[in-house]
Amino acid sequence: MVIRRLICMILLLIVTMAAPAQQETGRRLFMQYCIWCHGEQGDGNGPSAEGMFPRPRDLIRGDYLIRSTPHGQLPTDEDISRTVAKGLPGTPMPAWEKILSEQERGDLVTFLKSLSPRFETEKRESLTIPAAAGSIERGEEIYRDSRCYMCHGEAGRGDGPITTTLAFEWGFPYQARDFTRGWTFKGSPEIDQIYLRITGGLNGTPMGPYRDLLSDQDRWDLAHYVASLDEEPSSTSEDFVVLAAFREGKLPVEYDAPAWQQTQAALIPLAGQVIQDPPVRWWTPTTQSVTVRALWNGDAIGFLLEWNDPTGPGSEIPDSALLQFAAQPGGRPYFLFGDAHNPVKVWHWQEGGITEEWVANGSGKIKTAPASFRVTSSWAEGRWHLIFSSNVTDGLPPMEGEFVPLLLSIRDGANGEAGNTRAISTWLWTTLAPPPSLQPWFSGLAGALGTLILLLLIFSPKGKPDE
Amino acid sequence: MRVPSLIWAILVFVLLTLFFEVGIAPIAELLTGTAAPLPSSLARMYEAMTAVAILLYFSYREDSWVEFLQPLNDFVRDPRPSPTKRRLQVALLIVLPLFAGWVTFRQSVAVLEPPIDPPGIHFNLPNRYISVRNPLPWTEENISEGGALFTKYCAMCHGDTLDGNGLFARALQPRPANFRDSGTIAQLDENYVFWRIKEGAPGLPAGTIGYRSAMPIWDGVLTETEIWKIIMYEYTNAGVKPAKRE
Ligand code: HEC
Ligand code: HEC
Ligand code: HEC
Repeated sequence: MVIRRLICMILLLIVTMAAPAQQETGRRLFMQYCIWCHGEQGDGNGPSAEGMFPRPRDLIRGDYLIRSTPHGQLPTDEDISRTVAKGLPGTPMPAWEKILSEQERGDLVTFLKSLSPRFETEKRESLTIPAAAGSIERGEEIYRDSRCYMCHGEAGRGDGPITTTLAFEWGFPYQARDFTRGWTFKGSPEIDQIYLRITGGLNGTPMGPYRDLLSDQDRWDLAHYVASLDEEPSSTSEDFVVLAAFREGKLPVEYDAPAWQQTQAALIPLAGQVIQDPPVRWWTPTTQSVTVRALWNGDAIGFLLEWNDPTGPGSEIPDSALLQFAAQPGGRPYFLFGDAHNPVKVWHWQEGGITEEWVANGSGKIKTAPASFRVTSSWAEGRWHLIFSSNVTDGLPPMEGEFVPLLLSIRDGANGEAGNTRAISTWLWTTLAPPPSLQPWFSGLAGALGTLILLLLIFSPKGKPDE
Repeated sequence: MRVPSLIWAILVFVLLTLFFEVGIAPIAELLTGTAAPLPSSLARMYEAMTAVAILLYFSYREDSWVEFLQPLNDFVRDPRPSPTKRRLQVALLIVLPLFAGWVTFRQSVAVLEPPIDPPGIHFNLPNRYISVRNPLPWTEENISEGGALFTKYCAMCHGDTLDGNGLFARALQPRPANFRDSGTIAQLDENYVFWRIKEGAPGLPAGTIGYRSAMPIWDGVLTETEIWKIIMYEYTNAGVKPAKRE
């Protein structure tokens, strides 16, 4: 009995001594890695916080988004450790799993908890995840019945009617998640995690908890439906090629025509234009990727650009898009409007049906040229669909059998984007797929016939050895 | 019964080919600790050499060559083939031409491959930077100010963790430099890094892939002092040291 008590006391002593030590290592790590954004006090006012979107979190308040606990509760230690490891995708909060060991993350968690006194008093209990099967179809019904679309949009693109009026409880603008881009989920797009978000909500955001409104099975089905909407892989094709497929006849002008849908799509990620000012380097673009398809029919070529834009047309500043080509064959110009020796050709479209063509030899040297292309545009359910079309030989560098440098750029007016404040890609390649030809069939036939004749010669009775 | 030499030859060839294709890696791993398979072009060459060596071995003497070819002769030129053999012969006449046709068909379908970018390289430091030296001491304060600037101006591309995986990185080609990799700042002298930050991609020779990169010009946005602070932060937090001056 005495011995057991003694052991208990020693253990307690070790634990109470170890906790401050852990907290101390945690503090040191925090000072090394986290204060740039979260500030030395942990109040989210670090030196680089200004202009960051979303703002770094005030860790003193204890409002955590990613939790396995009910709404309003604090996260468990595992939850925090997971967030530090995986980061909050789509926000500046980085993933630390390659930098910090599990042990170090544990020490950081101890330190983070010491920032908010709430951790000492409040209870934290993990929700359980259903083991039953989930139904996407039922999930879709519940999505409609529970009016998730009011914020997340009919097609889940974050374009619901009240989404633009949402404001964060902490005073920042906030947008409902776009479910078609799984890689931007702050808590990862796995079904378990989605279930936890729907059940417990995201503390301090317009995304409330549905634990008391829907049954466990309903939320489980809902999670399956939400996961099924993810259509954008986190990694993109590494070679960034837009291949124009060959198709006989007129190019379709409707974006949902089967001919477009059957064409292989290239998913092109975009970055902010942070390379040149004035007016400003643009760190917070809203458009993170564009899907591009291309078709040609021997004479005409069409590029279908599609991107998610919850706010759509009608903002004070118009939305616009640019397609930029290297104007001369061979070589790639500087990617922002070319350079003195290597001009680029730019097709510019602006909401309201305005099209312009430019030839540029650098950012300050842009000349307008007669437009050699047409654009049909439409916006539906949170997504722009633009078809740029032109004559293949008219004004474009020769594309047959050649890879031509192509660059895409989008401006979201609702986000204040105009002029050089825009989202851009770097140089991609585009080329024409050769029209179907019989030549490979002829070669194949020749190969087969040649072999047959050879074999017949070998088998022929004349060649028999005389016995 | 004696095993015909043709069978021997095929057996030896198959075994050696297997060895070249899958056998090298485990042996290399046993000896050196890293599994290094034979490059496929080299493997193909060794296999061709094996085939030639086997043919040479059997064709050295007239009688062994005749014996070597015997099973083939028996199969192809049997004056009175059994029904099974007949069927096999016909099958061969159908399968082989089809196979050859398929191979030539595949080869003449054009493959579209975009031009490949060579890996980025480091250039000669412009003369005007050769005598440039870091005027600041490596104090904690300087490094920490550098950290704040880095997170604000560089992290979206180079990553908060300096691994070249910032939020914008997936959109950029070439990719932003990974400062934790031994191939970037760890290989470079401080004044080279200073040049690259000050003049960005347009400071590199036109036509190189570095020139086409998204690395911005920071001259005019950051002061020289600020650039030096960022450099000290980069080295400190990536855990590497500037390369020694020659
Ligand atoms: C580059 C800036 C940056 C750095 C560096 C950074 N964070 Fe964050 N962090 C953020 C931002 C921004 C958010 C809020 C994102 C949001 O609200 O969606 C955040 C949120 C968090 C949260 C809240 C998670 C939740 O569930 O709501 C935690 C915990 C956190 N960070 C811990 C850390 C730790 C620990 C470190 C250092 C190892 C760190 N952060 C470094 C920017 C940063
Ligand atoms: C009042 C508006 C609103 C309604 C209604 C709403 N949400 Fe949300 N939801 C949001 C906002 C805003 C966010 C993003 C919060 C953030 O980024 O921190 C969000 C985020 C989410 C996420 C988080 C994904 C992640 O890990 O980043 C899921 C899942 C989700 N919502 C599902 C649903 C479902 C299912 C419904 C219907 C039952 C629903 N939401 C109803 C506003 C809403
Ligand atoms: C828009 C994205 C972007 C931003 C912002 C950016 N960089 Fe870069 N940086 C790149 C890319 C891409 C490369 C690789 C190509 C090259 O060498 O130019 C690079 C290369 C470098 C190199 C050269 C490494 C080598 O091995 O040659 C240094 C040094 C560097 N960046 C420092 C910085 C610093 C410091 C900042 C912030 C003040 C910064 N970068 C901001 C994209 C960026």
